[in-house]
Amino acid sequence: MSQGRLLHTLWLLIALQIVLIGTLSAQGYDDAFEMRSKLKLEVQYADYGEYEYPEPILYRFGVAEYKQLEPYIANFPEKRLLIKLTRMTGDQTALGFRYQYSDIKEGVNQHFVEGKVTKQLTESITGLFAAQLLRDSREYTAFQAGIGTLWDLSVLTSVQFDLQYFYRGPEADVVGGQLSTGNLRVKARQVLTLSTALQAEYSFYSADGEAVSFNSHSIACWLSQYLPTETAVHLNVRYYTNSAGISSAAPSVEVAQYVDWATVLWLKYRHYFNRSDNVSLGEESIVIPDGLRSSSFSAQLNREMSRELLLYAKYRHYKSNMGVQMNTYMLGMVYSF
Amino acid sequence: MTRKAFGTIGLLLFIVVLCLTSAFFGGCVSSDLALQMETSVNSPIMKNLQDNDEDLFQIEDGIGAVGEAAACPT
Repeated sequence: MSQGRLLHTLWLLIALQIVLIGTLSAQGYDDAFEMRSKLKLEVQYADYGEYEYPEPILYRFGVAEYKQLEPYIANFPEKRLLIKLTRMTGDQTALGFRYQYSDIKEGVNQHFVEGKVTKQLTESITGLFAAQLLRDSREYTAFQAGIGTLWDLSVLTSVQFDLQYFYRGPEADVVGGQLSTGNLRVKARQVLTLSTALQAEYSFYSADGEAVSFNSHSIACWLSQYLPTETAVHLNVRYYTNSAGISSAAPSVEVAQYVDWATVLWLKYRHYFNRSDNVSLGEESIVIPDGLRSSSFSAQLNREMSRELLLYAKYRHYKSNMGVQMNTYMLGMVYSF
Repeated sequence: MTRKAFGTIGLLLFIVVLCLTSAFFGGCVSSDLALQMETSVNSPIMKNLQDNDEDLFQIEDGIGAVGEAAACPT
């Protein structure tokens, strides 16, 4: 067994042995109002680097030099670290601070800092404001701010609205230079029966920059069914299109199972396929290739060790028809105090 | 599929959701039923999907930097 394979096996064993917990809250309107303070730590490792493409190939045709673009799909970060602290400052308000380090690829890393205020505006309405700063080792900085609200109309219905603005300056020439973007998301969840729920999400995204300008729309729908075996089954489909020449669809199925009152196992399979004009969305050497098909499978185990401590681990395998595959491992914990 | 068709589908889907919302919004739910829902359709595993986690591991197709609005998954 090679050293790399041994390492992967070891990670998997560690992940499986640390029996993990309940459920993490979602979308930023999280668990802030349950306890006075929460500390969250996560580490992630991906072996994508082992499958990295070689340097771009240079061709010469007459006097013109042609550089073949790297068929990267994305910058899959190999290593990540997250530290997040959430603290109640009153009955209705929570402050959050997050630091995240991402090792994007060889010689490229990012530091990400976020401050967030979440406030219970009324009994049924929660609002949030967040500001973020991103520093990239390629000598540029980006800023982002966002607002959002979650409205629980009743136990049957909830609606969520989010708005974000992003800006980076011309010094970011390595990823396409100056860029400003805005995105809007609307999401609704409706209980249909005692065991069935429907969820729909629409998002609009607009980018305007030196290297690229486009609008995109995506729509996703989830049909969720709770079974007597304490199982939740989620069928999901997402469709995406943008004015730069990319459209894609991604169906997925996700199953969550209560193993016991404190242990939850999540399994997910997702398939993705697209049509693209082989466009680059800013970073010159990276294109979104036409005919990309990929599949990913993930398993996550959550375990509530005590009222204060939640542990979780996740494994994900990704494979595409572009010859890229990777394994990703994540370990995390939430400590409430 | 054209953008127009996509917009139409999106609109129709939202109308469906709004209709369902209005249908349920007018009614009341007893505390017993609400409690029952908390252990079934509104239980955590029915609401907190993996993709919803706001933090790490959101790498899917397309550019995947977490929390970066410029990195819109394709």
